[in-house]
Amino acid sequence: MRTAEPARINAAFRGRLGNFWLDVELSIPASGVTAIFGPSGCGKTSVARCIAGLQRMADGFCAVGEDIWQDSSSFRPAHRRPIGYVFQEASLFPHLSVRRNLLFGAPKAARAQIAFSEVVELLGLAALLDRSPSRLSGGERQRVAIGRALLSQPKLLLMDEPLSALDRATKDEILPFLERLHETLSLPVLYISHDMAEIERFADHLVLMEQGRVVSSGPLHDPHPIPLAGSRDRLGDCSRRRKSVGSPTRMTSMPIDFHDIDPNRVAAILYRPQDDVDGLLADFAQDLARSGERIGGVVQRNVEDGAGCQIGMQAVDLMTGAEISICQPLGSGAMACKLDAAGLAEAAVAVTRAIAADVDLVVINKFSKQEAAGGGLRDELAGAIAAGIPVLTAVPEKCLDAWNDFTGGIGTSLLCERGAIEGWWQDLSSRIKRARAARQPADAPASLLADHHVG
Amino acid sequence: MEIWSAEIRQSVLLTVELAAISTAILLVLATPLAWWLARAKGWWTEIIASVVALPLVLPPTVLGFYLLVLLGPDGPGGWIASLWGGRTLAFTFEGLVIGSVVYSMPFVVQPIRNAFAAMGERPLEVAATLRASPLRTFWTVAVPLARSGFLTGAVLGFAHTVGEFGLVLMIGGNIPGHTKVLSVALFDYVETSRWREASMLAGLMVIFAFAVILTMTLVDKRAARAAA
Repeated sequence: MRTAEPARINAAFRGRLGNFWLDVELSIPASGVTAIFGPSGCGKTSVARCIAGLQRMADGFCAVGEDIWQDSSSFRPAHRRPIGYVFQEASLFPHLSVRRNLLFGAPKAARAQIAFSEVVELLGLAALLDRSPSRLSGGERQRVAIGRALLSQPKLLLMDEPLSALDRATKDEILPFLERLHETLSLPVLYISHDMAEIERFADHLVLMEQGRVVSSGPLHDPHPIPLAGSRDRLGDCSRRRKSVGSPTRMTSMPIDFHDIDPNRVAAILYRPQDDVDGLLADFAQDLARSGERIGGVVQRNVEDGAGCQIGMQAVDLMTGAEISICQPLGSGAMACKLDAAGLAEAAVAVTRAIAADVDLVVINKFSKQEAAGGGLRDELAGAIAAGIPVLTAVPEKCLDAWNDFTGGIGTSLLCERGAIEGWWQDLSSRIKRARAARQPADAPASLLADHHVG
Repeated sequence: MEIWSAEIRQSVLLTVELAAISTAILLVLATPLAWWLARAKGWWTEIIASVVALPLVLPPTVLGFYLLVLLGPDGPGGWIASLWGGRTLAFTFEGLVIGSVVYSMPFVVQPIRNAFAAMGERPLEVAATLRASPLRTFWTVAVPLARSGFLTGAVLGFAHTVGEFGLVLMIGGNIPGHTKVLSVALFDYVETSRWREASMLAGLMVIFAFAVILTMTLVDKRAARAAA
């Protein structure tokens, strides 16, 4: 994205930063709140600093709207960029009163879009104005820092984990202010955080980073908010169960805007080996099937003995509930288990039957090495997509490239948790039912994918 | 009061004048130097820092010797003096100022450098994100935040100039009204067995030293409180 576009923020930075590589390309809307989410040390702060001009990458590009801040031949220093930056620590000037801190970056000219009184009111600063920063609480300081950034009349507000240095109670004190900020001002905000709960409350757009790279990027807007708090507990149960196997489950919770991919009727969830999302998906699909939902497909899961040691694999036809095949391990390793030829043929028939029955959802809980290599249930997956039936699958991290080739880059690939999947299904099934009630044929098949794979 | 003689008064005034002028020059020179030392990252930074710190370990007489050569009629000092018709900067008040500046430089640079380094990058980055130019950032953020360093530097620079002896003797001599500062005057009184005047001056210096140390402690305490 090394070109300037109106109403978008395009940035690309590549290079060594300390002991890791940053290789980031971003194109996000120049409106609303965009959250950059990722584990600590994944480079998200560096991205914000590069955009602010506090850090300079030789190989970099940054344009906000049609304003180019950095390209191969020019670099605009930080103090010439119309940004506001809120650091993790409030970093107020200790030698200035709150009022003078607030006014430090305010232009002398009277014409200001964001007025002093407005900011004082928005952030509840009236009682603090004549105090010294040393006499403020942590939350008050951060509010002043936010106000100070706003009063410099930025065209882009960068917030680098503004709440992470604060305790729970103080966070809860500030979050409502941030929400009001979002509602009141039409300022684009880049919000960096490793706390999904914060992001859920007011971000519109999400960029997921890992190890110096953007893993995914997309809107976060969902008309039916997902009840994440409850689902997290369920997930917690699951991870405790998995602990006995000796592989700690660390799930990155991530609500997905499945809406975004619904026209293509594909939902894929990217997962890491330790996340066990394929197992989660199998549980979810079997629960749905048992509760009478019209879903079909095949779920496979590893069979473990009492000691958590993998002893085989089980595959279940979701429509009939029949076990398809249990193959015995050829050796002691997990890799030795997969569907044998007979089992695979049976699974293919199960999926084809589900497509013929025009189920509401096809779940194939793995797009793994076999499928990536062109075998397995790959054709069945393509068939379901071509038939216009929503497909839900899980893609291990290492198969992401193969998956992208398969779908032509459509379909979301994100780390996920059960609550997000359930929320998506509730939304999707209610729309399917509405469509059926209106006696309208289901949406046209995803022509793009059909062309891609059935042609 | 015959003890507070014109002679002593002249020495005190001369000392204060020398220390005040030197301190002012020191602050002007040390500020950019300290700023650079605190923020530059190259290997040569420490070399420059060591050169600045040399007077801390050099015997004042060694420093005085070199200064005497430099300030004398055959050195650059002689050439500078010739601009206003003088012959040499050695044994003049101006020469004494130059010597004091060199001698006291580390005592002024070090606390200011430390203060600049202690504030870190963050306040400067904050100022930059608030559209402050580097110059404005320096004057409205860096200098105010380093003010305890400036105060410490100024007090130390002043006190060391007042207290220097070996260097003054080498390059200033003992000319009443021109180069006869307190420390030299005290030496003079002792040599001529004028004990009353000597103890008077010595007592004055003790009180002065005490006041300096007390001031510094209070400044430090205040800075620590402000930082908390």
